[in-house]
Amino acid sequence: MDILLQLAVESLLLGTFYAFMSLGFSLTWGVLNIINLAYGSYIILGAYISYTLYTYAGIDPILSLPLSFLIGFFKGILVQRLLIDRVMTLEPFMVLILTFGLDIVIANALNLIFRADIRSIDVPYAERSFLLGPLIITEVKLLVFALSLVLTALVYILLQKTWTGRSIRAVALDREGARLVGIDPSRVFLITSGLGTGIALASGNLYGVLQGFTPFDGGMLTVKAFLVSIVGGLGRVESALAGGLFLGVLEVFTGFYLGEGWKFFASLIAMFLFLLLRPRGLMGGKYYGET
Amino acid sequence: MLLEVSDLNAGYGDVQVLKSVSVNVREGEVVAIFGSNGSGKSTFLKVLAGLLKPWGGTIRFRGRNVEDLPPEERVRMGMALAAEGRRLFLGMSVEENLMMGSWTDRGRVKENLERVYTYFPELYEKRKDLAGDLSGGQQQMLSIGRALMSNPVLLMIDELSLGLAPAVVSRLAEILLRIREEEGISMIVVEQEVSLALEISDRAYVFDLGEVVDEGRSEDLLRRDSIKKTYLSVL
Ligand SMILES: Nc1ncnc2c1ncn2[C@@H]1O[C@H](COP(=O)(O)OP(=O)(O)O)[C@@H](O)[C@H]1O
Ligand SMILES: [Mg+2]
Repeated sequence: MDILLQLAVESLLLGTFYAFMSLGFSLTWGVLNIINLAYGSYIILGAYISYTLYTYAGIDPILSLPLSFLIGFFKGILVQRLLIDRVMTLEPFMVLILTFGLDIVIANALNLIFRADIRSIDVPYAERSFLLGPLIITEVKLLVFALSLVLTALVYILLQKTWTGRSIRAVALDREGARLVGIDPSRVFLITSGLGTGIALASGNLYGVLQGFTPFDGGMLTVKAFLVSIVGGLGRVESALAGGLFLGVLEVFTGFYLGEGWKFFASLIAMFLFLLLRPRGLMGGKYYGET
Repeated sequence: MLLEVSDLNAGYGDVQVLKSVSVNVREGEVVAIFGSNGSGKSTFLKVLAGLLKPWGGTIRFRGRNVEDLPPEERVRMGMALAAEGRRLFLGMSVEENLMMGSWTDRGRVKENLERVYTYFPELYEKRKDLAGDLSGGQQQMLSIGRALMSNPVLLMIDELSLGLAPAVVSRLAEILLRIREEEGISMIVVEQEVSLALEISDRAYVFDLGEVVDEGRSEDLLRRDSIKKTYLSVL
């Protein structure tokens, strides 16, 4: 019983992080109708930024998280303006090729700078843990969970309660309807790309304190973000939470019962099963992409 | 003259739809457009709203040429379109849909909501419901209500009565009359039901194969034999 409770808590902590991590992927998919294959490498990029700042300047990854977000935000806008805008209306397949290429470029650039060794951000609180009744709580996991929750809530409030957020949802729901009321979709695309990439890089700061990473881990993270997005349905914060928790449970339980090596394999299987059986997600595409 | 459209040509790809269309709307006037399916009525409204670029011709609105302006500029200047297919945000609440209509008039969203709710009390009742859960008639009200949320001087409605029950249609017609009285705004109403179109309008244009083939005061058109024969054959 205790072990089940422990696993459930671990799932919740990890799953909430996955929800936040995938939010940007899900948003850009839902709003721009783009599958960003470079998304995982954006996360890794964030991890290396915070690694560099921590190792050479002693800045805690939590403190540099807003900086990663800002770098990501402007990078997202730039990539959208210079590259994706040019091809996304012509041929959706081109976006896949483009972002796949971007993924390779980022991974190899990181490899040139940092080499392929596994890096980790060894914050002093990385190994600390405490007992809570029958549970062992690792402080760093709790911290990442709390931050993920707060940041996810912030994105939720942005989307639900601000004009910018409403315009993002409006474009996701009906582009033509958005133009009718005077929203400029291409502006919304820029903001969404910025937000999505910002989230990716910011989540990289958290990922870096959770575990070690190499320049080539991006592909695996893209798959995870993809799985989270299709499980819940696109573009909604609630959906990302549902999908994130699903992935958390999947990884924690397969990791414990089958072994660490099975975790990613299980995600892949789940992804194929979902694509095959429930391509519109557990919650059914009730909100986004249905017009 | 509020709106002067001259010699408008437009189409999709290289298929021409509108051929040298000229239409005028005066301040405070309600103009109806009717004509058979595929005659270019929706295309015309799309070009007016800026959703489709014209090939040639001019659109003067409030004394300014607007044919090169993006849709948001035209909404700001006072054009609003309740489009074909309604294009509501089905996954948003009724109230959020209305709020989005005030995108260009955000400072006054509260007043605008109050105003629209007085015309459409049923929208107030359903303000928390998802737009996707409304009936067809309510969705049409929401579409018109959303267009009104930008405080337009020219309200354009595509297919007012399509697919709606007669009781709903007469209620909509009543509300439009009230809006016209209270706001003094001009309207272009595309309506297949010719008797209804002529009843609610001051003047009307008849479209056929992308051209204006007839126009005149609505009461005159109602009495004209050619109109009776082609469009009011039930009478
Ligand atoms: N998006 C589109 N792409 C290509 N052709 C279109 C499109 N929309 C309408 N058309 C064509 O343009 C013509 C006029 O259509 P439309 O303006 O919708 O007519 P109406 O509203 O009078 O029924 C029709 O022949 C229609 O097939
Ligand atoms: Mg039409």
